[in-house]
Amino acid sequence: MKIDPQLQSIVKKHFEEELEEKYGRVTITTSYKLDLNEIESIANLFPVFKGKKIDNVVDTSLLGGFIIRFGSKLIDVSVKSLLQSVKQTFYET
Amino acid sequence: MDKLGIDVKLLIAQLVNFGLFFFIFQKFIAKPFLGLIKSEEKKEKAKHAFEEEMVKQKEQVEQEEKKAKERLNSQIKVLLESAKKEAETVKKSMIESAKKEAEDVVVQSRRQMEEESRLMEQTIKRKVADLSLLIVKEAMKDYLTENMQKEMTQHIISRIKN
Repeated sequence: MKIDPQLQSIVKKHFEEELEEKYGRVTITTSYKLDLNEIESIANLFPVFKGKKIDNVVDTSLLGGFIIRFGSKLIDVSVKSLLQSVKQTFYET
Repeated sequence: MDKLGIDVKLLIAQLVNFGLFFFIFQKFIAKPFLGLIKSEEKKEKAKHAFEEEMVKQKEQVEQEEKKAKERLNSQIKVLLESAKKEAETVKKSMIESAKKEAEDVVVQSRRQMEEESRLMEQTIKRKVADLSLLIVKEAMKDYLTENMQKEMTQHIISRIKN
């Protein structure tokens, strides 16, 4: 089956935009609003974040620490997650 | 004869009379009567023989009956013994089966109790963990100021760097 080249380029563009939207954006969730220095400090930890758009979302239930979402990756160093793992340890012992 | 007082004519007439009487008696009365008596005697003898035969047969029947009764009794005895043995076997088997069933029930109940106890312990442990963490979370919410949270973030960043 032959695909129309024009349609092919539209589809390609669409998926590129989707990927850019998904992988070109970094979300940092914290328990308070981060200042620019803090955002920069965190971004410097991961060279792949350079040039990406970084959003800061506030979730007070984290209690401390932060969660980074980048594409399908997730880095969770929040107090909430730490307490959750302590709870899990309690359950398993 | 006349001088002796015997009338010859009368004597002859009487003799003839007697002879006639004897003849008639012999011919028509004594013979049938004797025949009747003999026949009755024969009948009596046959009756007696029949009675004796009957007695003998009765004795024989009684003996056979007695033997049959004995045989029946011995068969009943054997059957009873066999039934008794069978009943004993069934009884033993039933007792053993009931014992085994009771033991199984005990083991099953013990296992169930242990499982329930383990589940209860686990539930209590989880509840305690949930409650403890809830308390810690609430305490931390009240205790951690924004500055402290900032310090924590800085601490994490420095640890990741190192």
